[in-house]
Amino acid sequence: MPTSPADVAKAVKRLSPQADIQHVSSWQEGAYINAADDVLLEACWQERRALVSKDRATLPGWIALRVADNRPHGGVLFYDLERFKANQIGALAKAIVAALVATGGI
Amino acid sequence: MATKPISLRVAEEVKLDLEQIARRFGTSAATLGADFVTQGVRASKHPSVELRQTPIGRMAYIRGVRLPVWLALETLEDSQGNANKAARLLQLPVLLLKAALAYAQEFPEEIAADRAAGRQSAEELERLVPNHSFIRV
Repeated sequence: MPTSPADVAKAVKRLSPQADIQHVSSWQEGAYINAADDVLLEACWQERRALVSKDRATLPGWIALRVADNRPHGGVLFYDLERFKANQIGALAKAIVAALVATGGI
Repeated sequence: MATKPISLRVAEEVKLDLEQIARRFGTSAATLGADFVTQGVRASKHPSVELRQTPIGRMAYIRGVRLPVWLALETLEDSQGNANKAARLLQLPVLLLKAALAYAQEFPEEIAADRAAGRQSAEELERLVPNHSFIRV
C-alpha cells in the first residue's frame, strides 16, 4: 500500500513516542508547505527544530549562506535517495530514530 | 542552443527597471530580457511548474509545493513508472505529477543536472558547509 512522506512522522512517533516530529504539511497548520528552503530553515531555527530532507541539491547551499551570514540553523538530517526509496517508510523512520538517539534529540 | 533575435517594444519605465535589475545581476538588459521572455514562454507552456532561484541556480519546482521536478521524477522511478502510485506517495494530484514529467521530458538536460546536484556525497557537503559536524547513521 503506498505511503506518503507524512507517514514517516507517524512511523517515527510509533517507534519513539517521545520524538517531537511533524510533517511540514501539518506543522504550524501547513504554513510552510510551499515555503522556500531558506524560509523553512529560519522557521525551523525559530523553534529549534531540525529539518529532515532528501534534497541535497539546494539545502546545503542555503545552509552555507546562513553560515556565511552568521545565522545558525536547527540542523538538517539528509537521507540517501539510494538507501531509502520513496516507499521505504519503515526503514527511514528507524534511521531517523537512530539519528535522534545519536545526536541527543530523544 | 541556437538563438534568434527578436525585436520588441516595452514601456519606458519597464526598460529602465530592466536595465537596473540587469546591472544588479551583472548582465545586460538584452540578456536578462531574453531570459525573462524564455521564462515566460516556459510558464505558459508548463503552468504547473515554476522556476525558483536557489543557491545553485534556477530550479524547476512543482507549483504550490516544496517539490522540485527532479525529485518527482525520482519518486516515479521508485514506483516503477506507475504515476498513480507515485502521485499517492507524493500526495499530489496525478495530473500535477504528469505535468512535471512533461516538463522533465522537454528539458531533460536541465533535470539531469538537478538530479546530479541532488546526489552530492557527504564529502561534497562537508566541503560546501565547513565548520559543521556530519554524523552518519
